[in-house]
Amino acid sequence: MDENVKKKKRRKKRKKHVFGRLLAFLGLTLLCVIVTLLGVVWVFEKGPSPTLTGIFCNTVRETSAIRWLSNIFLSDEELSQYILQSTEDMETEQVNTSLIHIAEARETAAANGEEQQPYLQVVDIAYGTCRGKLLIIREPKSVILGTSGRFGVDPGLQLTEMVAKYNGLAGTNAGGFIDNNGMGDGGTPTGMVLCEGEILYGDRYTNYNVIGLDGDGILHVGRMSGAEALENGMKYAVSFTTHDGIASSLIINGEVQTQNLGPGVNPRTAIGQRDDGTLLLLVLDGRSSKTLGATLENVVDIMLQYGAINAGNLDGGSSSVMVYGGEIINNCASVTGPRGIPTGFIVLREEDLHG
Amino acid sequence: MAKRRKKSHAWGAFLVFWTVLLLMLGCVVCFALYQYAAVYEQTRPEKTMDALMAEMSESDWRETLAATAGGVSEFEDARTLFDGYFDSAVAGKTLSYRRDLSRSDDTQTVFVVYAGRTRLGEVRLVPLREEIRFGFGRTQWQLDSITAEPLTDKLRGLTVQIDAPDGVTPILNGIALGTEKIADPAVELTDVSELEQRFTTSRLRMVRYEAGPLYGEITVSSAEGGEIAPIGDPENGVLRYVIMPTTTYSFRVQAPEGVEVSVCGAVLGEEQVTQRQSSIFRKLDDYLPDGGYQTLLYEYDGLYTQPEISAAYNGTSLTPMLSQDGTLVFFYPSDDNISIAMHEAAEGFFDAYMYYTSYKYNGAALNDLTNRILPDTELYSYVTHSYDAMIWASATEMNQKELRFDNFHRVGETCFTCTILYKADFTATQWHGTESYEREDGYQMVFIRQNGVWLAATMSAFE
Repeated sequence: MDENVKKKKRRKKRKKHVFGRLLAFLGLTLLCVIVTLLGVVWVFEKGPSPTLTGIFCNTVRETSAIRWLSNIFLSDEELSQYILQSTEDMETEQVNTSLIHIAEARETAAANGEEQQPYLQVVDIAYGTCRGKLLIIREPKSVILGTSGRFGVDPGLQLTEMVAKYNGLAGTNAGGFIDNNGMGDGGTPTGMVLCEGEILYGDRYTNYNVIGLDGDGILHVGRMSGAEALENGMKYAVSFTTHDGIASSLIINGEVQTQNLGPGVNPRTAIGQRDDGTLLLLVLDGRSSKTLGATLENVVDIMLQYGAINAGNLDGGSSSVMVYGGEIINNCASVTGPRGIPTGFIVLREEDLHG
Repeated sequence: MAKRRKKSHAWGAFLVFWTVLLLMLGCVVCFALYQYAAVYEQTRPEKTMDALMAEMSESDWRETLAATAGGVSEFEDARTLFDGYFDSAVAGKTLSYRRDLSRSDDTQTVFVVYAGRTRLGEVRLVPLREEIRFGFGRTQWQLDSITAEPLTDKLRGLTVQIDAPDGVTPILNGIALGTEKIADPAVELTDVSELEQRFTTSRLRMVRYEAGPLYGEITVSSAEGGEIAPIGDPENGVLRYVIMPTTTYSFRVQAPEGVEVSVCGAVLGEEQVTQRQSSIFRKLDDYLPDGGYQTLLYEYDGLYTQPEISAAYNGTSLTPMLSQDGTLVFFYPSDDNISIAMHEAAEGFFDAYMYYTSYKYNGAALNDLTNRILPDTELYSYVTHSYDAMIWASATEMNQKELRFDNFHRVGETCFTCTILYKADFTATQWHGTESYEREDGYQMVFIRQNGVWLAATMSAFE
């Protein structure tokens, strides 16, 4: 063995040595970070504040990718004390459409010489620590349900693409989608999708927690089958429940559905309607240094503040997104950028609505 | 070799140090978080609320909230209303609360207390002191006030509107309504007959009282009568009551056909006609090929407005006569030409009639009278048959005071009608003495021309 070969072997050995040390350093550091994070999770789950435990558990359970975190230190039995019990099958209340007077309200306002409200208003929301955007839409019939394409075949569309597809003016995400471990492509909805009076996904016989609009532009929220949704004259609808089966109804006929209001803090999307027919599309940001997110109670408070008498919760978390004028106007919580989604509520342009 | 081992030991020591350092940092983070969690839990306004909810029983909530319930009118008792509201809201439901973020800040935290989904009231917390642990300071809260939801927001309020006749005081929930509650001193009474609704010249006006809003039980009565039921269901938040007038009016009007009779400006029609008669032309068909005219009797009962009756014929307004039974009797307007032409015939007949009826046992008087009467009429028979009775009658002196021939009306070429009204003092002398009396009578006459002479055909006394 000559000197060069020995040198090469020594250099190679040294390289291995340095790499091993680096690996050990990084490994130990990562281990310490993981241990610290576990400690943080322990404090949340087993610490002195049951309130924080509730917030933490409900927050992570609403998120597909990290819902397993809630079970690290808590047994299922312990966990059940902190999370809401499923309400999706308990819903009985239905929207009373006679409480919505779309034409009447417009005529009364006109008769009183009141100035007509703008076709679409974008309002900045700052409520407690919640931050977000609200679309106030005068004409409820200007809102349609946009879809990404062939469900289960094509991937979901980003909301900007979906709004552009329908030549819309604005929009928000709508129903939920299959998102195993946060890896879903947004191409396959959950529950039911009803568009132009036709069930595109789901069936007539299963009961869903429906959020949608009928032919008169009246918002319906509540538990109903696909057939019942069609009987109610619904033209556009999606369904949504949380992973724990919490129904999507927030306000029905002016009554707050408190049984559906968990303490989880997340980005939110919701739709509401005033008694004069005005639609409200709300997106609240979260998972950022500016705001952690909003509870559903916060969503209800904001909806009530803006006069909603019916409101429903849509898909939230990293899906929560609002587009206006071709751009995303909220702070999307997704770290990888806006996600593909199967459905979105699209606000058509005024000229397209009347044209 | 020793040098390398030394180096290796130093690296190992660094790794141990680094790990311990990281773990210690992690511990500090976790400890700090733990402390923060403890302070967070302790200083949550909800903790104060939880303590309050645990401390206060349902009856405590009732009493506390009731003490602040108000805002109702003098016609209701706030406590009674609140108890009713509380009972219906709380029945079988648990009390809960929600923080009102829009009204909560560093200086106050506001919670809304619910029974089920119904808002009962508000709890206001204010800062007590700063709780500091491990550098984390958070405000501890204490109770400041508990206020009930305004009943006026929660209960359905109804404005009570009571229409009452002038001078009748409505009583609402046992309290008489004063003049300050008068919303309109003259409203039309709408719940009246079709005829009265058509009245134009005068119509009973009611006084409209308004009170409220009232949120509980409503009872309305009048001083004169008992409890009154509302008129249907509330409309636009208004519940209406009408205290109907106790006085009603009726009328009885007789007028020949073609005369337009109006009551308070409303023209009477077939609906109000109760009788049609042509009795004064009875058995005169041979002399009146076209028949006579009919006299219509209009009767109506149950008017709330005092009837003002007028009549007109071809634009000429008529003056009625009041019969003894209260019937207003209208005739065709007197035709002046006929009046002048026929006055003599009428007067001649009546003079003869009065002379005869003065019970003068006098065949000449009878002849004079029957010569002025159309033979084969009931009148003729009546007069001739009366002659036999005259023998038993007393001699009577008569002084006419007011004699009036009026309402001359031509019925075809050979017939006219008129009225004869008179007042007269009579003195009857009989075997047992003398009796004086005054009479006031009236007749409707039909005259028929026969052979160029006007003869009385019918003599119908007014009742």
